[in-house]
Amino acid sequence: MQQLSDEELIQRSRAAQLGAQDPYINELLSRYRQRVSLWCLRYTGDREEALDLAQDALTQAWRRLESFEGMSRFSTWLYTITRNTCLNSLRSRDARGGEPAELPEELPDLRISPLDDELARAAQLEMARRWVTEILDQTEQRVFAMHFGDEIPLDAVTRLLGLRNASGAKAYVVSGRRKLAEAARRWRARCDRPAAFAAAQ
Amino acid sequence: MPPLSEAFRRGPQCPDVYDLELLLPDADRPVPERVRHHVYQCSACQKELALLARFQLSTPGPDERANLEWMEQRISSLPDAEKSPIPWWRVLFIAMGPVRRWLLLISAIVAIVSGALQLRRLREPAPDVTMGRRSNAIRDTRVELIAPAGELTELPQKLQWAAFAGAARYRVTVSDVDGVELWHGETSSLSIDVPAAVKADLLPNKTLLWRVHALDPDGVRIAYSSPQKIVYVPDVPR
Repeated sequence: MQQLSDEELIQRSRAAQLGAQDPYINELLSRYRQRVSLWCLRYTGDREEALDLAQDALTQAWRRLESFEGMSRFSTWLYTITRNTCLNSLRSRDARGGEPAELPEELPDLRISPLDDELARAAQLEMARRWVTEILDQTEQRVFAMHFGDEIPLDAVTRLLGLRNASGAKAYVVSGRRKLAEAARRWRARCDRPAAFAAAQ
Repeated sequence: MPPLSEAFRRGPQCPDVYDLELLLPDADRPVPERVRHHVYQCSACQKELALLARFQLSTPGPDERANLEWMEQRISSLPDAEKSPIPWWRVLFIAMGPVRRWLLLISAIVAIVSGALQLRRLREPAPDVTMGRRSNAIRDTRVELIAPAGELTELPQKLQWAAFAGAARYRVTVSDVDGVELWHGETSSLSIDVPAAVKADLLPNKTLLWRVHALDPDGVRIAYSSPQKIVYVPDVPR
């Protein structure tokens, strides 16, 4: 059975219809038990909480296996379940009044269009996306996307990205903020120059 | 004006994680150019790709091994809650003892055989009207989808498929790539109008799946199609 691919195990399980005692699914999930556990451990930093989350993710994978269409690797499908389980847990913890996700301080203002409609908003967002990829390095972008985009705490970001520097993700937030503030200052100076020139005349 | 933090969130134009998978080093299919181009300019997608790669190749560090071993000792592949208990009839069967068990088994066999003989006597032999076509019907177990498929530059108006022998009605489902059903409908014809709710879900570059189940006159499923992937890619003038 160990020679079978993930997809072959799923096919055989579907053909055999063995229910909860299915050896094919047992084999499949045992292949990923460590990955799911490790992911949850990095997410929470607490082995007991991680154990609950990992068990929950594996349960959901087992329950929803029928919906796996084989259009991606099984591991990618399992990744989405594990990621969503961890994110949902984090959000419900915050909703219960637990430790709130750290929010960004005042970030530079990208006032690039006076139009206030959906199209302008989408264009501004597109420009902001390009702007940050040009200014921040790859690790800073990942840290910002996890912390400010997904609201994942910085200690979890450090573990999930495997950052080995002394202050972990926090150092990247500090350096990234500095770069963004400096770039925004240059941007505003460039925008204000024509107005100052016109005023002088 | 959107706050800058939105630039770090995944949006409707971001490819799903199954497309991002194609950017991993050992992907077995080519990456669509629009995916590669988008990811290059999107921090949120680059983050998602990095996390997916770390999940695929995850190996525990020295400081994680002890906790991981602790977890591995306690976690089970199939959760306990899902392991079904021994059913009541099996418990009763075991409790009967060997002699009663045999008696029950023999009387069940006698009842089934005599019931079958009785039924056979009541029934007239039916003429074989299949005239050799039966083998084709058994072989053909898939409903064939006609349109739409793949990347669409306009929102689809209808879903169409080929007739399946013996089907009285067709059940059509639309789901997202995680298999979550977004809409379903039934019809006796070979097409169905795409409802406004599905069109609203079909955001640019978001993948949806649709499939058709063929139902017999009793509503029992007799065949089904493979899921068909559709992505709405609006034709933006350049």
